[in-house]
Amino acid sequence: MFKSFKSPFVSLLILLISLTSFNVLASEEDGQREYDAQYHTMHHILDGYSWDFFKFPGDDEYVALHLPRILWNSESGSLDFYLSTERALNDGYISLYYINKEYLDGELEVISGQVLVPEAIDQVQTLGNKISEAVDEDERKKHREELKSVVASYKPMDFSITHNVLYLIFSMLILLAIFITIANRYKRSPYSAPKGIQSLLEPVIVFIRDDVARAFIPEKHYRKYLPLLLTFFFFIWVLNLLGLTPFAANVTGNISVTLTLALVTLVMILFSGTKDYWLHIFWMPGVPIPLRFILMIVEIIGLLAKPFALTIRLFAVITAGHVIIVSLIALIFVMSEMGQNPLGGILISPVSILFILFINLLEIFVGTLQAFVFTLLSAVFIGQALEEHEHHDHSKEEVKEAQPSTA
Amino acid sequence: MLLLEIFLGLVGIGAGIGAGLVALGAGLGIGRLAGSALEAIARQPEAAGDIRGSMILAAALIEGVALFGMVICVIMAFAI
Repeated sequence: MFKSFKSPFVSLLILLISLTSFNVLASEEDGQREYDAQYHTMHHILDGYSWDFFKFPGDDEYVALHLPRILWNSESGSLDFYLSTERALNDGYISLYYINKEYLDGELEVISGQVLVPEAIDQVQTLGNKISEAVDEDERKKHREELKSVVASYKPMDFSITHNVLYLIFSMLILLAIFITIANRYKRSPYSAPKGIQSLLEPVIVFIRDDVARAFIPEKHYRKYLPLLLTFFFFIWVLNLLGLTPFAANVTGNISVTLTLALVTLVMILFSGTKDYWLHIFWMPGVPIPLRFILMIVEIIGLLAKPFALTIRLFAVITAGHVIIVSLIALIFVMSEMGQNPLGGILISPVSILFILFINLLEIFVGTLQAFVFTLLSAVFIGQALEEHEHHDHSKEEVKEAQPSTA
Repeated sequence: MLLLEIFLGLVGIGAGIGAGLVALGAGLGIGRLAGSALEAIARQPEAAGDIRGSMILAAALIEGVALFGMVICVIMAFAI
């Protein structure tokens, strides 16, 4: 049996098993505190202001790397930079989390680490004092409602480096490192056979060029869009794969990220539309004039639905995969909770871990596939905008076809 | 108060039934796709590579549609 450890496949399997155990950070239940599966799932999927690693059993806080905060202070009109949320709080910002606990009994939905700009702090402090000094329940309620509305309306401009931004930067550095190396190798020796990482990625790049860009975008223009399509593919692919590593952030599962990518596609479509394309959207030939107004609305909705579909597809697929993985890990802890006995967890671990491995491998495949689908659909939409077909009069064409053909 | 609880319960039922229907739709669609692909491969084994590629692509697109529905069900279940 031990001979099989030499086989690379088995070693990879064992490595994957050991890595997945870091993906979800759970504290040991100590009888008092129940295991909250939903909290851990959400924690893994959502963005945060610190890069969390693990939690010691019995602790409340994660061992984490606190990420810098960059906040716009509208009172003094300056962009404040702090090395961590704690330093921002020490410098006079107030945390929503604290206000929520102190005055609102946890009624406000907060991401821990949200801070308030100093100009709201005066209002918050006066209202807080009024709440503590309130005589009767009604007055307290009135002040609490006011405090809630003040806090809810204050969203300081937050340019902080969050968990997702950190991973976006990692991905960017990885891509720069790989592709600048490849480009330099091509420049230095353009006629020799590729080797190393060049030969690893050249088939992929050629595949995107031939089967995605050239297949859907007309021959005259495809070179202009090739950098964009290649960037889409490799960026989304690296982000999806990074999301499966330990301690990772769920970047492509953040709808803002996918929305931005889809908006880039939309801008490309809008700026590369030929006159034919816009004509067919707004004033389509071959259609009676009253109908054109209705069809115009339908066509505009169709134009906007394409990036929307791209957004939701990538976001939902990646988030769903992560939720499944985290839920399977949480299953182990929930099983041991239900019997108040770790035996339940021990018994279900083999089953759970096998499923987790399978889903992890599936997610690697799905991540690659979704990156490819995003690129493919962007190429298709841009190609549709660039299409030029012969401009003939559609109404005359109908009359001609109605005439019977004589043998 | 009872009305609120009934309302929340109905939202839960709606989300659950919705998610089930979404899964059903995806299963039916991709099942038909896989069936046709297998038939085509059986007819013409030389084209297996092309057919497999197109099948995976179409499956990803169909699954995307199914996940649109799932996102709405999740929003219903957790945020309403």
